[in-house]
Amino acid sequence: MREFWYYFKNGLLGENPVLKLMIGLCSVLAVSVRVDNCLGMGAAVIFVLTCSSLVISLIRNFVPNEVRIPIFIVVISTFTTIVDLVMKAYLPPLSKAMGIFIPLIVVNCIIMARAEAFASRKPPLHAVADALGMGVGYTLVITAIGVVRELFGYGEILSHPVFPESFQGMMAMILPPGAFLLIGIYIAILNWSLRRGKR
Amino acid sequence: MTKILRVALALTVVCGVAALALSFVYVVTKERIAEEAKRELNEALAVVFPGGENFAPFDLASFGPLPESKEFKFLEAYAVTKSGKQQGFVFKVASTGYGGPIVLLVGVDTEKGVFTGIKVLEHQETPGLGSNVAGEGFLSQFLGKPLTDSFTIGKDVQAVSGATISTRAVVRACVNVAELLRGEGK
Amino acid sequence: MNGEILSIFKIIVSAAFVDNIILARYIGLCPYIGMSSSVANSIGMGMAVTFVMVLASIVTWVLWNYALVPLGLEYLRIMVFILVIATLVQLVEILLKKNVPNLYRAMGIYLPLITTNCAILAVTFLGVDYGYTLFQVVVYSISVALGFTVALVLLAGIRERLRLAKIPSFWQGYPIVFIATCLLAIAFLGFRGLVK
Repeated sequence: MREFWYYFKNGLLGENPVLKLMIGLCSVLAVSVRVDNCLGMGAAVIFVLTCSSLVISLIRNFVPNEVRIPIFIVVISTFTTIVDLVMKAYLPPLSKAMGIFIPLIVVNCIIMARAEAFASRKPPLHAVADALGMGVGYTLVITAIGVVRELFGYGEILSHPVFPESFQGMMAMILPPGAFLLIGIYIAILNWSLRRGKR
Repeated sequence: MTKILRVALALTVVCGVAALALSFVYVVTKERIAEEAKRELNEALAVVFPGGENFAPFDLASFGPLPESKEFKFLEAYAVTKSGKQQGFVFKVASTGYGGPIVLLVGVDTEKGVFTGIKVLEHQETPGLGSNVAGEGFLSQFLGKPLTDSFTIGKDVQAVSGATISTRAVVRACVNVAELLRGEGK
Repeated sequence: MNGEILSIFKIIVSAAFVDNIILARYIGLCPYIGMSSSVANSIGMGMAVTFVMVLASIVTWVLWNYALVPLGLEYLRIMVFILVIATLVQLVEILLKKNVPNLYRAMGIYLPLITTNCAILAVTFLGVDYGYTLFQVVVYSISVALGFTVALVLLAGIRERLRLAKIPSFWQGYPIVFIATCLLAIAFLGFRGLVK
């Protein structure tokens, strides 16, 4: 159990997939315009990541080394398609808002990278812990960006207005430049705090 | 040789299981997805034509030759009836805005000759500027406007500030629908 | 005929600049950040992506229109497309390893990562979503790849200059790269509304 927590915490900060490993950036920036999109995306990524890590770890001894990549891809794309279909059926507005970025989960580098570097080498429990840590770490970052973008871009949080009527949304926050600016600032803050922590 | 067999076996088993799982999920969700799409359409139709009871797909060709240009196109039409009586139409149209086509539903009460509502279904306008044409504030001014309105921007229609082209696209849709129903469309 | 040329031109400008896949759509960021440390590498990466992107969109377009749609298997799209891309990448990798070992060494781990390059998968999806003809799909994928390469080379140029600049220590590395990207994205916003 202690190992479980160790691997889980690893993904949250020390090896945060987005801010430290620089992977899975596309969907982070693209869907983080509103907080509800972020939570939906986070849930979808956690589901795909955890399920594929579990399956890949379970079949790791059965899969010949030569064809491991195609097999990982098949596993990951199966779970992505499942998420895509289920979201279309039960959460159509959310699925519409995220559009092409749901099918693109399949090429979210986090999942492939964790499958290759971790899940295919470790027992299922550790793989799941790592996947959950990475997934939650991803969700935290995307939500942190989403809160700022929705707050300043629309003056709302989860579509509830927080500023007085007269507030004019900052367009830059909704458009691509705002997303790039924010993630730059976040990484700088993380670097700064990690460095201060070391001293 | 056994190596190749092992590789082939692994691939076959994984693909087979994946295919089974996928087709299962597909069958389970298929009806639900179709239902959702239908419900969404009906909801949108009810918004642009409040009080309409029955929306039946209507053949656009029966309006005669339709106006069509690079900026504007009729996509679909629905005839609205209430207790068996023809009440009006809802048109699905595409009108080009700043970032691409804006797809709109436009409801018209032909009895009274007024617009009953407009809803933006899809658009790629600039968030924060052009995207405001999809908002209540802008679209509600079309409610109850007569078909004979002149739709002059700035006089009859309050433009969205900073988004003249998006505003024009919505107005163009109204003008075309009005002309078609007044029988002036060419 | 004139209209056709115009529409092709429209596809090129909007795919390469207005809807630039990186700076306006946020797709393909991993190689964008990873491969932009020098101009030479970024051009190599751009070429590899162009090659794979065009091939992939042709193959997937044919599969989509002549296999998946007639058979009613649209829901298998994600899996089929990603497998096609993975195979193509493997092919390009073998070819590069044999014929251009220098470039192969420079790209290192990034070539296998083309498989998980969202840009390529996204282009194949968008190509069929937009309902393009085969010719239009080819033009579209070349233009997107062009836009990708332009963005990559621009950033690489900036990063080469940045190496000489004095930057606060915690802004060094990725943070300053994203700030540069932010400014590039603002510049590319100027293309909006260019194509109607």
